Order: sequence, then structure tokens, then C-alpha cells
Amino acid sequence: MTVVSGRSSAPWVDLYARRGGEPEVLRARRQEAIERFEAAGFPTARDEEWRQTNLGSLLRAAPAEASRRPLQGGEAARFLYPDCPRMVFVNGRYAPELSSPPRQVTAVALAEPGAGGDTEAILEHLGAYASGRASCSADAGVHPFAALNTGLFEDGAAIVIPDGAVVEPPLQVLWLNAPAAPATESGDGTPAVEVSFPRLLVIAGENSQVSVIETFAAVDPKAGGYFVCPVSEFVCGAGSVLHHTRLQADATDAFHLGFQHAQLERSASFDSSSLAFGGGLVRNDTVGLLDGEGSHCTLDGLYVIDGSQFVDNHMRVEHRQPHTTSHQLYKGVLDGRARSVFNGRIYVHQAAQKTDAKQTNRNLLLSKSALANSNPQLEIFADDVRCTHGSTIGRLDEEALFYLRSRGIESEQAHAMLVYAFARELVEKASHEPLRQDLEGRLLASLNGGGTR
Amino acid sequence: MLRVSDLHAKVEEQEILKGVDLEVNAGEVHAVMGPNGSGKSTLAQVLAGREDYDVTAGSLELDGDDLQEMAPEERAHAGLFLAFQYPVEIPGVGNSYFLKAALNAIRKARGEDELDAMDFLQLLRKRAELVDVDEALLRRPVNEGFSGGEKKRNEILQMAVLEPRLAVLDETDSGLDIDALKTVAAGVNALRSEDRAFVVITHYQRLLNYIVPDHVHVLLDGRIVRSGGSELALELEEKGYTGLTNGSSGV
Ligand SMILES: Nc1ncnc2c1ncn2[C@@H]1O[C@H](COP(=O)(O)OP(=O)(O)OP(=O)(O)O)[C@@H](O)[C@H]1O
Ligand SMILES: [Mg+2]
Repeated sequence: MTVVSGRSSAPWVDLYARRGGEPEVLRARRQEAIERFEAAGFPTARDEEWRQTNLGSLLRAAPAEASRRPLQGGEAARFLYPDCPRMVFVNGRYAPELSSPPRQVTAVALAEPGAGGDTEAILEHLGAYASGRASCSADAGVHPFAALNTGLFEDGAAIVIPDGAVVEPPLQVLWLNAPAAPATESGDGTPAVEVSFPRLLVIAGENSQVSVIETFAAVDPKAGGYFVCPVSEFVCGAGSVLHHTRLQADATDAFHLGFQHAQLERSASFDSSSLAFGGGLVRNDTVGLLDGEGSHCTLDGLYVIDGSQFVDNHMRVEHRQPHTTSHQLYKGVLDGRARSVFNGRIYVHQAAQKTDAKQTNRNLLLSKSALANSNPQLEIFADDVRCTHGSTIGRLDEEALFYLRSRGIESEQAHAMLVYAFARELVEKASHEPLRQDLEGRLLASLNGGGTR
Repeated sequence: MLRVSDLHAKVEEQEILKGVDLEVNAGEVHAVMGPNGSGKSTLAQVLAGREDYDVTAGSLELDGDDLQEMAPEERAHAGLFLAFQYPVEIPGVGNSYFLKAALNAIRKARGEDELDAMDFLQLLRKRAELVDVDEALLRRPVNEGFSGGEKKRNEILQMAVLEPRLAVLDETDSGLDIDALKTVAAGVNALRSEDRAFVVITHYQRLLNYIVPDHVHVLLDGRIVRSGGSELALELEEKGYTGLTNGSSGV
């Protein structure tokens, strides 16, 4: 593989060159995306949008195609909710033997032909938003990794919900990473990272209702050395209600650079929770595009990190039409030398009168060397709007700790109780019982396993 | 039971307690009175083990054990309880969950079986009734948004559930209406026994009509300047603290 230097995008473009045999429209879109990626180059600290995201360690790694490793029975099971129809992907490739897709809606793997009458809809939307084409206002630019994914994804899931359909229970898409262990090295000693490009497209028809759970996980949480670069696109038709949970539990030394985009038509509602426990270098870019009058999005998130983990959430909510509302609540719990960035941009177009936008980022630092950055950015071009934002970076309340301890509760348990209390609303909002229990369990486990407290 | 000798303590580099002596035996009720800022709450917090209060001299013993060697939770395990003058609000932690965690932590430390959810709920209901705490308060987060009086009742509820051997009540009567005052007093009196003791910090003689103390102490500028029987409270009510000077003997 080519040696990576400076802003070179060459090794990634190399991967692209190996593709072929697809519908022309997709082929063209890929070509365009990879050209955009090439033109923009690998982002560096000089790019305003990437100023606080140090990609150096990724840049030093040599990208390698994800290996094909058959999974042992049961390796996927612990990440699955038994009552949910599911699509399971291993290293970015569909694993039909582990999947049981829903019957009443279209749910297909992108690499496999045959989406019935929905092929056209899928091709219309696939990549239409994520690569910067139809997306956002002019200054949003291209998201390099979304473009990279569009150029390179091998497989993915497309889910199409017919108009008026109410889908129960939630649909689960599991993105499982199982890199060949141990991590290989390329000839010149640079560490190789196996790369996968999960791709999800959900099209919710008019007045339909559906919940989608995306889970990113590693078969072996200690076998990192992989790079997952996912894109999820949500097209929310008029009056639809789409719930999305994104559980990121990757290996703690994995790279995870994700992009998700929700496009909302009139009176649509998109409610998303993004929970990050894993990954070493993590960045999530989330775009909510309120493109229909009366549409609403809730974008919530939680990151619970320790050691040298880094999590960066870049939010962009665009109010394009009148009477649109958006709520963002992101909370972070940081221990060890963990670092976080929350960058929350709310952009209110001139036409978007009566916009109601609320953004909150709260961070709890559990150690002296943990560091949280919070940057709200409001750009408002309409005059009759309500926009509020607030961010806090704090430590555990010593008085509360003393109060708990004075009642006999051990110091460690008192700490965990207060951290749990801080974060609980974001795991408890999950309405699907097995999902909620899983999230609660992960939160508790991350508190009890926590380093020096 | 409790022996405080020549206790000196600093808060933020300022000496607040300047030689406190206090001895409390099992079965006794002691009242501590004194003007604002004289150090009553400081004494209470030092007893409970607050870490940012520096003990610079003197000693604190509970049943012969050095309290200074013990973490706040260990003091609670040993049977010490402080009803805070300003109970702390803890958003996100349910009141009854908190009480169960506290009771079970204490039971565990003492080598007793932890109570399961059912048994605990039964106990909690009984105690809540005793001190007239509305069940709705049990489901809410600890003290969050509680009225001043509700917070004080909640302290007494905790005491009734945890059944300490030595309870220090820091102005639990402040901010209570007359009915609440009687309920709180009834709660304390229900716990009174041969092997328990109470230190009641108060500004008002009124409380002492309901919880009759064996001893009354006056804390002034970081020292106990006078001690006597329950009649001392009446005298203070009449004459105030003026005329009391440092240097009189403590107990
Ligand atoms: N954390 C602190 N920082 C600085 N000074 C403090 C602190 N805590 C207490 N003090 C000071 O210590 C002194 C004694 O306070 P303390 O609360 O013990 O008084 P008190 O006797 O309980 O008064 P009150 O009757 O008003 O409750 C006061 O002058 C107070 O300002
Ligand atoms: Mg006080």
C-alpha cells in the first residue's frame, strides 16, 4: 500500500480504484464523491471544521481492506435484541446468516441486487445528502469522510418504510468489527488499519413510524486497530416519526469517524440518541435539515469516556422552513485523560420564522486531566425566532458526595450514583425495554470499571 | 459515647472552633445553642467528617474510637448521623433509592443482611408514617425542589430509617411549622432509648419543650462558654447571649 504523507488522499483513492460493476447513477455519484475527497484532501488542524480533531494517528496508519473473517456462532448475539428484526454486517459486509430482516418493509443489503420496486427510491436518495450535494447551506462544504464513504462503501443497508406504515418493534442494524488479529503491519512498519464503510439509508414514507437502532461494536473489545467510517442517511417523509438510536461501543483504540444526516419534510419528526462508550478517536458529524414546515428534530447524545479516548460531536441543525423546532441535549462524562469536543451549530435561514431551537451541552469531568470543549455557534437570519443554548463543564458536587457518604454510602458508590444521576435521562429515554436495559448496563459498567476515582 | 476534647478546627484558614469540650453519654439528649456564626454547624460537620474542615488540635472519640481516623461513611457505619442544617439537593437520585442504598451500606458494613426491595419498602412506609412524610416525596429526587420544611422532615425520615446511635440535629426545627415541629420531636422521642444519644442544635427554646434535654450548652465564638440543665435554655430565651462571656467552664 502507498505510504501516506501530509494531506495525501492517495491510499484511499487507491482503494476506490478497485471498485466496479454498479448502476451508472451510483457509479457517477461515487466518482464525484471521491473527486471531492481528493480535492479537499485529508483534513488537518488547519481546516476550521477539524481544528480540534487531531487525526494524526489515523494519518500515520496505512489503510487496508477489511478482512473476511467468519464469525463463531454467538459472537454477534450479545449485541442483538432478540425481539428486533435485524441486519448484521461484519466488517462492513452483510452477513445474511446472522440476520433476520423485517418482512413488512423493504430492508436490503446494498451489495445484493433486488430491492423490488424501491430500487429507484434508494438510488434517488443514496448519497444525495451525505456527500455535500443536496446538503446544507453553501458554507457547509464537503464532509471528507462522508465523501470517502460514498466513494468506497462496499455494502450497507437500505430500509424503506411505506407510507402510513407503523413498524414495531424497532429494527436493528448491527455493524460488527472483527479485524484480523493481531493487527498487521505494512512493509515499512506503519501500522495497518482495516477500514470499513458502513452505509445506512432509511426512507420513512409519509406518516410512517419506525425506530431504528444502530449498534457499532467490536467482537473483541481489545482487538482494535480498525477504522470504521459510517454514514447514515435518514429521509423523513411528511408527517413521519423516525426514532434513531446510535450505540457506539467500538474497541477503545478504534478510529470511528461517522456522519449522519436527517432530512425532514413537512411535520416530520426525527428523534435521535447517540451514545458513545467506545472508540479511541471518535468523531460524529450530525446534520439535521428541517426542510419542511412544522418539522421537529431531537438530537441527543451521551459520551462516557476514559483513558485517552477522544470524542468529538459536530452538530449542525438547519432551520429552513417556518415553525420548525430542534432540541439538542448532549452530555459527557470524562475520566482519565479523555477529551471531548462539542461543536453545535444552529443555522436559521431567513425564511424560517417561528423557529424554536434549543441546545444544551453539559460535561462532567471526573479527573484533573480530562478536558471538555464546548462551542455553540448560532447563525440566525430570521427575526422572529427563539434560540437558546447553554453549555456547562463541571465536576462532581462535593457537598452531594459528602451528604451521601455521611449516610453510610461508600465513596466509590457515591461517585457512581452521582455520575449515573447526571447521565441517566439519556439512557432512560429509550422506550424499547431491552435497549434501555442494555444502555443502563453499559453506563453502569463504564462507571464501575472507571479508573482512578 | 461521644467525647470531644479541646477541639480546634479551621475553615478556609480561619479558626472557627477554638477548644470545644463535650461529653455525651448513651441515653442523653444535649442541646447546643449559641448565636449565628458561633461554630455550631462547624462542630456538627467536623463530627460527620467533612474533609475541608481542618482539625488542628484536640480529639474526637466515638465509643473510644478516634473519629478522625474514620471516613464519613465509616462514621455512619459506627452509628453517627447528622441532620444537616442545609440538606443537599441531589438531582437524579431518587429519595427512596438513596435511603435503601444508605441503609444497606450500613447493614453490610455491620455484617448484616441487606434488605430486599420489598422489606425495605415496608420499613420505609412505616417510618414515613411515623414522621409524617408524604409518599410522593419518596419518589422524588433527594431534596430537589423540596420546601424548607420538607427537607427537614426528610432528614428526620433518614434518621428514623437508619436508626443511628448518636444523632446530631443541626437546626432541624428551623423553618418548621408548629405541627411539623411536633412531628419531628415525636420522631426523635420515638427513637430515644438507653443506648442512643442526641445532640440537638437549635436557636429556639420551643423545641426543647418537646425534646427535653438533659444538658444545655452555649457555644460562643468557637467555645462552649456555659453548660447547665434544661433551665439554662429558658434563661437564654429571657436574657439572650449578652452577658455570657468566654472563659466559663464547659462540661
Ligand atoms: N466554608 C466556609 N468558608 C468560610 N467560612 C466559613 C465556612 N463555613 C463556615 N464558615 C464560617 O465559620 C463561622 C461559623 O459558621 P457556622 O456555620 O459553624 O455557624 P453556626 O453557629 O452554625 O451559625 P448559624 O446559627 O447561623 O447556623 C462563620 O463565621 C462562617 O462564616
Ligand atoms: Mg449553623
